[in-house]
Amino acid sequence: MLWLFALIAGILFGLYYALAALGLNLIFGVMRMVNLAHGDVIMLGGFAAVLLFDRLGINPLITVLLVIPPSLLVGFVAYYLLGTRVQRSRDPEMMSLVMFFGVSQVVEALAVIGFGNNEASITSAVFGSKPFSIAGQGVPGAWLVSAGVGLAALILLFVYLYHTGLGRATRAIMSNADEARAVGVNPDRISAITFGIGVGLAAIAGIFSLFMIGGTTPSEGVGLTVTAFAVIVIGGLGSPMGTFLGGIVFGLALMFTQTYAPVWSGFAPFAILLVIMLVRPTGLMGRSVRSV
Amino acid sequence: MDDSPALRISGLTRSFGGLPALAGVDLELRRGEVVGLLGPNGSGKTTLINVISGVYRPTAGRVEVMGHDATGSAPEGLVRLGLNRTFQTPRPFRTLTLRENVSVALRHGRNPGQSEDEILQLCGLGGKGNLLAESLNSSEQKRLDLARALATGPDVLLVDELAAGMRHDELDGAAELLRGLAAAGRALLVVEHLMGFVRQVTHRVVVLNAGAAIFAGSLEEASQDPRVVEVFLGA
Amino acid sequence: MLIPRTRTVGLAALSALLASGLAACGASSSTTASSGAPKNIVIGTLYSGSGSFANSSLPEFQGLKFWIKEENAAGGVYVKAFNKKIPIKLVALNDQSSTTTATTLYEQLVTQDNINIFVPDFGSVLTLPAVTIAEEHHMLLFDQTATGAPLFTPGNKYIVLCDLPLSVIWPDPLAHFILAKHIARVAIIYGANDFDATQAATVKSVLAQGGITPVYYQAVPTTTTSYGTLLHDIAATNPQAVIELGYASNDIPFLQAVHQGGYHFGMVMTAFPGQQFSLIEGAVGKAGLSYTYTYGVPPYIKFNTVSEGLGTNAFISKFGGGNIANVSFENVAGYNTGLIIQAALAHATKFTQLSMRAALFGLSGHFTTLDGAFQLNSEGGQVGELLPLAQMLPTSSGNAIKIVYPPASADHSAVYPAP
Repeated sequence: MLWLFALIAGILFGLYYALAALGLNLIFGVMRMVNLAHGDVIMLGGFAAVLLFDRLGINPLITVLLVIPPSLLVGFVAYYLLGTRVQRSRDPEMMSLVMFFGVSQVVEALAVIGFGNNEASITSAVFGSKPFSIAGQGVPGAWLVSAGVGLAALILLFVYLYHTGLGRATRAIMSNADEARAVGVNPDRISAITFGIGVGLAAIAGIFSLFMIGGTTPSEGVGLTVTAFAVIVIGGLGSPMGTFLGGIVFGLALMFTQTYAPVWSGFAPFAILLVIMLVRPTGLMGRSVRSV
Repeated sequence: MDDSPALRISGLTRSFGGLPALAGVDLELRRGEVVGLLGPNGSGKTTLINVISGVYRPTAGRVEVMGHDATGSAPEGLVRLGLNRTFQTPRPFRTLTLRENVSVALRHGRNPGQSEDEILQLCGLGGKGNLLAESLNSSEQKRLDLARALATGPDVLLVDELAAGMRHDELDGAAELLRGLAAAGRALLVVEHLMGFVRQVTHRVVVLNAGAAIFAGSLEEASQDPRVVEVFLGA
Repeated sequence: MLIPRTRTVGLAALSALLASGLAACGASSSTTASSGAPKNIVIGTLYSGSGSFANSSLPEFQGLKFWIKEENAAGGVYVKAFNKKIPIKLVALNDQSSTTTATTLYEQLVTQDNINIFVPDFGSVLTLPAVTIAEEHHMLLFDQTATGAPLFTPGNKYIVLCDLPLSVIWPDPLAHFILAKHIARVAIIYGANDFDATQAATVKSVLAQGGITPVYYQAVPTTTTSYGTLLHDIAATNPQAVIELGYASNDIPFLQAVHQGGYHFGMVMTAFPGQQFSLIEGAVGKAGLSYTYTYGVPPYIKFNTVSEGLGTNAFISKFGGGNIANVSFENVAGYNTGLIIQAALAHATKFTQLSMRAALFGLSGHFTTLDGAFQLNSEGGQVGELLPLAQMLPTSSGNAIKIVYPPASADHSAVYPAP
């Protein structure tokens, strides 16, 4: 039953990949900025979990809650310090690439100084050392926890966006920022909150990257940004709910190729990305983001 | 306070790359009054709306809303002072429902004390609150644009070509709606090309040509004014 | 960057020398006219201050600097061609783990910095660009740890491998251990790169001699970090031994996945815990490493009778303050690079690149350091320093690395199957 395990693993990893990409897409959707430091935030989340676990014995699930306040703060500061400048430039998308590329380099360099170059991780025994049985397949507990948190984050984000006033204003800005201003929405305030949420989601994803991709190291940020970007392009730029689908597609592609053609497993998710781009350039759930 | 103009603009000038699109426009709007803004294409009507509503900053001149200086204010600031507008080409929040579109405006503007559904009803969109804005036809999109502007509770409303694209049988209702809004104490500046509609709705008109106001008075007087006739007929 | 005029002239002179095929050492601007002996021996190298190779490159660089410090403290390195000790000057540039940056900086070292000794950065990926540059400029490359077979070609005289054997011979003791233990069901998963693929091919061919065909034999991308599904598929083939040949960034998630999935195999082998023990133990936990196997490398294999430099114990005491935990394989490797340079200078009759190479070939097979027996094949590849098989055995204070095969170098017997 190799296919059944690949299916289960693909969905669980898909939820993790969706979590890892969600913040990037939310920030892009609202601000039209590509946060190239997204992967570095994931990396920092991973180190936060390792340090808190090693030094204070704090369970990674508690760390999920602990990273939220500082992430919101960092998001606020980053938006008002950098984001507003990017927004007022002539070409925010391009400007954001340049600006956040710089941020990414700085964060990586500081992380090397702060944490060293070593790969850091937490033994997965914190989530039980015996696999759980799902449809007769033994699945590591850490995968279930990671996927569960990913799913919870998606649901909470959905509730926020569709059932709160701030969320509606956020979607209004995603739809058309100028129009949102025309009805009195202060885009800077919403953008700062969104940036904070995006950073928080990335940091949370980082905690689980310890269990899903083996660990964290200061140099992994760039690769994670690329993966997250692939996921949101598959799902649709600017469509947070498309990210859910993009993550699942990415996860399934990875796990099925690992099972049936392992040597192609690094390539397959990106091949699917290319196919989707050719067939449906806006992504599975995407809308054209540059027109209007 | 009641006799001070709801909107007063004086000497309003806006240049694009050295070319003046508006050259010192003066205008006053009182509560309860509907003023038509007329002029041939390119005369500066939409530019004037855009400068008043904060889309563009004026190069010179002054805008006062309800007695407060609003010169160069951003759109969200003007909303709080009590000014809002509709667009020639409406751009509703396409991925939000009609009710959500209005709800965002209610929450972030000056709540006029009406519910989403009441405002939608008023604008002829009753019963459509759960539809996505992107499913509307162009006439309905204009109504939604108006509904959203009303939901911010404006004292001054700038209406840019509401009637264009509406069916004939919709025009009477739209005119009645605008008159009703004014009767409730709002000041309206209406850009419109359909003369019948202008006649139905406005109390008086201002005619722009080449960025300057060349006439202010009643529509009847305007139709006999040689400058206005020359501008429109190109005589 | 402005290049002073005198230096440009020096460059021109250097190019002329190289063009005439003399292959002299870099005409250092500090060369004195009288004796022809330079004021300094200039060693040029790169290190990765950040990026994916930093955790191997920096400790290796530390080892090399330690050797330079030792030599300079004793008045410099002995150069036979001038029959005197000459101080060492180090020119070290940071390539940040980027091959593009490394290529530019290697060019700069050989064309502008007037170096006499050319030492590349850690590992095959960052060494590869130096190989062609060294050959073009007729500089002998003191390859530290790049062991992929494609780096060594019969036509290229300008490379010697200092600190590790060619990767093709790494798993020889491993494969023979499997045969000796009569392990019939073997799964091999390896990174799709020269370094890992050559090792996998070696294991496969040695096993074939014993009539064993692996039950699972698959390459995965070098970037693989999720092994859960792969392990599930491997477990489905019911293997007694699972061999994962990758880099440290593969070994960590692989070992985690074994632990996470609750898998139990008689033997689990990964490549890097021997070379980066504390790093990997820190990441996967003590339990995750217990009873697994790895390549045994210095300082866990000890060589105390040496013909050059410090022996293993002396190095541990001087470099690591007496604690083996403070000494990594890369530290030994970097120091050993220095020892090979030292031997080349001490035995070369002329101060030229090819004379240094000839001196090293003369020493091949008769020369031992704390890194083992120094022996070169005809292409400059290292074939002397065999890597025995080591097993991590739990003790009260954590895992201890014990050499378990071949019997000649073993200090403990293997615990197979793992409990």
